[in-house]
Amino acid sequence: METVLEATDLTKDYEDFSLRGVSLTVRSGSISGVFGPNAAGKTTLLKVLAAQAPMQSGAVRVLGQIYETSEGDLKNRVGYVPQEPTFYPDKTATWHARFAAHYFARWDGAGFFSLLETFRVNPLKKVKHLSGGQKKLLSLATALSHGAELLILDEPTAGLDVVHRRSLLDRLRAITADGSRTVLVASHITDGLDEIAEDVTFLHDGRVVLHAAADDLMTRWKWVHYKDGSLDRAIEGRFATLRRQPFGNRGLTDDLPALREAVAPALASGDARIDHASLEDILLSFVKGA
Amino acid sequence: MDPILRRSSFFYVTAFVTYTGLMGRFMLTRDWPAFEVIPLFLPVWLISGMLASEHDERYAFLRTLPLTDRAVVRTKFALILSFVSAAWLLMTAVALFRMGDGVATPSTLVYVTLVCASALLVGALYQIGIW
Repeated sequence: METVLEATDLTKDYEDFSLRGVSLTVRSGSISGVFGPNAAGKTTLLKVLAAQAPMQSGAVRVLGQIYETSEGDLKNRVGYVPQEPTFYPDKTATWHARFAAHYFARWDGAGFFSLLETFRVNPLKKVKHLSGGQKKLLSLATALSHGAELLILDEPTAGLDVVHRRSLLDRLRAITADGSRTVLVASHITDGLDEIAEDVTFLHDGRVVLHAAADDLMTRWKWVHYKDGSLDRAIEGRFATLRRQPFGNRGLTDDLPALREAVAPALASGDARIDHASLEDILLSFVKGA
Repeated sequence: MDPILRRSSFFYVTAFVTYTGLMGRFMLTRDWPAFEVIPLFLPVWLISGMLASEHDERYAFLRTLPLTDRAVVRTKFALILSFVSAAWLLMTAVALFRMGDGVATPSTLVYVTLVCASALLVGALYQIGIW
C-alpha cells in the first residue's frame, strides 16, 4: 500500500522537552493512531507533520511532496485539527467559512454548513460563545470541507459528548472506506479511537516506543488470568505486566504465540484463561516499564 | 480582497483617519510651528493601529490555511508600508501648502520624511517582534 506520510528521524527541542529521532509512516487509506500519555510529544509531532511548527532536524514527506517547496499545495491537501481550536473569538463560523473559502482551492461551502448542522453548531454564533466541544466540531468541519486527502487530528474526541464522539468515529471510518482519504489521529485516551485505528504508534517521553498494526498488537498482546501457583516464576517473568490480586493473578504478554505452549497445561486444567488486552493496557505497560 | 488584508486594514484605516482628523487639522490651521511636533505622533498612531490589529490575530489559524508564513508577513508589511506612505504623502502635501505662510520650510520636508522612515522601521521591527 502507498505511503502518504513519511517522517524520518524528527527532532524538536523545547526547554523542558524534546522530540527525539521520531520516525513514522502512514499508509494510504488507513486510520493511524498516535497514542501516549500527557506530555509524550503527540501534539508537537502532529504540529511538525502538519507544518504548524518547524523541526530542528529530520525529514517529512507528505503525499510525495515536502513542505519546504510545496507548503501551499500541501496545506490544500492536508486537513489539520489542532488540540485547541484557533479561531477568531469575535467572529462566527460563517465568517470563518468565507475566510477559508478564499484560500482553499477545493472549499465545499455546502458541505461545511451541512456538517455544522449535523454537529449542531450554530453558524451565526460567535466562536467565543461556543462550547469547547462545539469549537472542536467547527475545527473538524473546516478540516473536512476542503477535500483534504490526509487528515491530521489532534485529540479530536476530547471535549465531545458520547453522541458526537460516536458520530465522529463513524464519519472517520466512512471517509477512509474507499481508500481515498487517510487519517492520522493523536490522543492520550484510547476511548473509541482504538476501535478504528488500523496502525498504532505509542509515543512516550518524546520517543516512539512502539509502531505496529493494530491487528497484530491485538493478536500478540493478551492478558493471561491464572490461579496463584499455576504458572511457575519463569513464565511470570516473561509477562510485560504482572498484577497479583487476591482472587487470582494476571499477566500481560506481548507475544502470546510464543507463550502459549508454556501456559497450555494451566489452560487445559482450567487454572488459566486468556483474555484480550486493550490499547490502554498495552500503553500502560510501556509507560510503566519505560 | 484578501481576507487577511481586509480584516487588518480596518484597524490601519481607522488609525490613519483619526490621525489625519486630529493631527492634520493642526498642520493646516495653526500658526505655530506645528510640523515640529505633530509628525512625531505618527509612530504612536501606527503602533496603536498595529496593536489593535494584532490583538486578536490568530496566526495559528492562518497556519492551517494554504498560506506560507512569508505570504502572511508580506501582507502585514504591505499594510504598514501603505499606512506610512499615505501619511507621508499627506504631510508632504500639507507642508508644501503651508510653505507660503512660513509655517513649513524645505527642511520640514526632510524632517517629515525622516519621521516617516523611522515610523516604518519601528513598525516593521514591532511586527517582527509580534511574529
